[in-house]
Amino acid sequence: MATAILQDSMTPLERLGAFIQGKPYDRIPFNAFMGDHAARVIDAKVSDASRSASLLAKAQIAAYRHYKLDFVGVQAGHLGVAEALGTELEFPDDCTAYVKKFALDHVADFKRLEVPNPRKAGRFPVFLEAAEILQQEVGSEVPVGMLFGGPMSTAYSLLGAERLLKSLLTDPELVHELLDFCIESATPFIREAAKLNVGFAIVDPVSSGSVMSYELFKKFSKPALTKLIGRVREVSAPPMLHICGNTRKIIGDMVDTGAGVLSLDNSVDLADAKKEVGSRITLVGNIRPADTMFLGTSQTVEENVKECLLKGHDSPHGYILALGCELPIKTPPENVHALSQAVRKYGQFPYQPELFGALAN
Amino acid sequence: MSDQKLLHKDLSDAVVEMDEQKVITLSQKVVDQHLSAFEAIDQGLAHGMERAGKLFEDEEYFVPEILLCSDALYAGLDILRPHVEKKADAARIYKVVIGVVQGDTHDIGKNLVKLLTDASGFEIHDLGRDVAPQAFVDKAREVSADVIALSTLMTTTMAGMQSVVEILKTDGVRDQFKVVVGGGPVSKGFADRIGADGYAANAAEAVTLIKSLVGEAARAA
Repeated sequence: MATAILQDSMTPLERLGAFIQGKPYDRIPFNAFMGDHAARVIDAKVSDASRSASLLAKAQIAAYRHYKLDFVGVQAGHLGVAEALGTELEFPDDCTAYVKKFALDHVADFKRLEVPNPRKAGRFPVFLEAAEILQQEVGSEVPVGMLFGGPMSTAYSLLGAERLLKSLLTDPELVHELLDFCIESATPFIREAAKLNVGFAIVDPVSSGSVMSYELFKKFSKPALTKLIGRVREVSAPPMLHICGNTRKIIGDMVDTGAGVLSLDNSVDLADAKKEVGSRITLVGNIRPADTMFLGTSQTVEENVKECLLKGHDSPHGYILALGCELPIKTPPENVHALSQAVRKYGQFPYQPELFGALAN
Repeated sequence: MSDQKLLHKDLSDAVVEMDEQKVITLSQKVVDQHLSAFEAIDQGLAHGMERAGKLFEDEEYFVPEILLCSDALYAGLDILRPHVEKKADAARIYKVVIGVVQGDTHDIGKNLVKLLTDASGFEIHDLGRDVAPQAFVDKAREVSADVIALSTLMTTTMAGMQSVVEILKTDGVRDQFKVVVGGGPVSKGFADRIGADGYAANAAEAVTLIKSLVGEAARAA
């Protein structure tokens, strides 16, 4: 059944600007968290697109145009800062990069490292150049994002999961120092990227309730994130904060860090999140990336969009529809199209809640 | 409580309390007093690890705590294992091939299953992470494994589990192995669909599952 896509009457940049300023806009903005999948749109290998600024930008722009997205962005992910500090990555052809060799053998070893130069270290130069190209090519019509890792996740990428997680209990003082070093290491990169007028997003999966207790989050991750977000706020708008997985217990604390926007994974119920923190912060989320986008049909996608709109549309401090986490690389393209279409079908502003399943009063 | 039982209880507590030093001291006592090393492992160390597993299920212990419990456990195993008496009618050692499927490198879950099954007396062949389906089958056949245990945290790599089952069928050896699957996106429904023998929601359940499957196989033999 062909559905006419309702035409947008604003550019993504105009739409987001209106949204932020509380002015009228045409439809809900949405973020497909388009990362490595973009390489497929230009038939490039993920490994190549990840390591070339021009390919990275080309892929993002192609995905933006092809799928009619509302954001383009550069993903330094949770590995970017650690890579700049010496962690070696493996780049499979068609899969997200992963750690081949951690930079540190022991938590105290960070003391022999130096804060990395954003113009030279790791792939920082690639990320910065890609962002610059994106601003030049499409920056007048679409917001350009820069996503990088939070302190705990950077520490994990330096040390390895088991060594880091054990150190939280056995060497707390050293961990605090390591987290500080991770913040210092990200700062020059943040400052350089800020000159390009990007919007920042911080991902911190290791701080998830799926990995560590609330007590450890509060003791280590929260102060570190607050400090890092402070660094971003010195040069840019308060960033989006995304912690993958189960963040039900820490959601209030996530707002306390000073983040501008909270991005929620699908393990958190959007309606519950709205009740708890919706009056304090804009919420983003939480289409199921695996079950809906990767394994689902266009029908599943449409249902999930309606479900999210139903739960989030009236969040007092604003709601942006998005995936719960990054779009899986092998997502069937028709599902991304379905997302794009469903947003326009159901998300026209002002909302008609009966369209997406709200009971008529 | 007898002295031996008290030692077992203290060993169990020391594992739960993540007290490596205490485990070492107590394990040495078992050796010095010529008490049964096997029983100290089974009713002391492994018992403690099972309790830790339950705390993990209940979301009181998380990954950091479990890792430290396992350090304490292994410190004790290092001391006690050399002293385990070889019985004349030694029970058969069951073998498990375990790994994280191709394309995935998250291995904490797999490592937890590995250490719990190791503590329960199984012989573990750990293929690590990013393991091709064929490699699971090859290893299982090479060591005459009883169980193939597959783990993944990512939905996008689950298909590899199905591939393992298919290869076993194609090679005509499906009946020789019990295939168990686990990991974040995996479910019982998925396990049934791909023809696996079992699914476990967490490491503690995985050990129970594996034990019951090999027990079943032994009875059927």
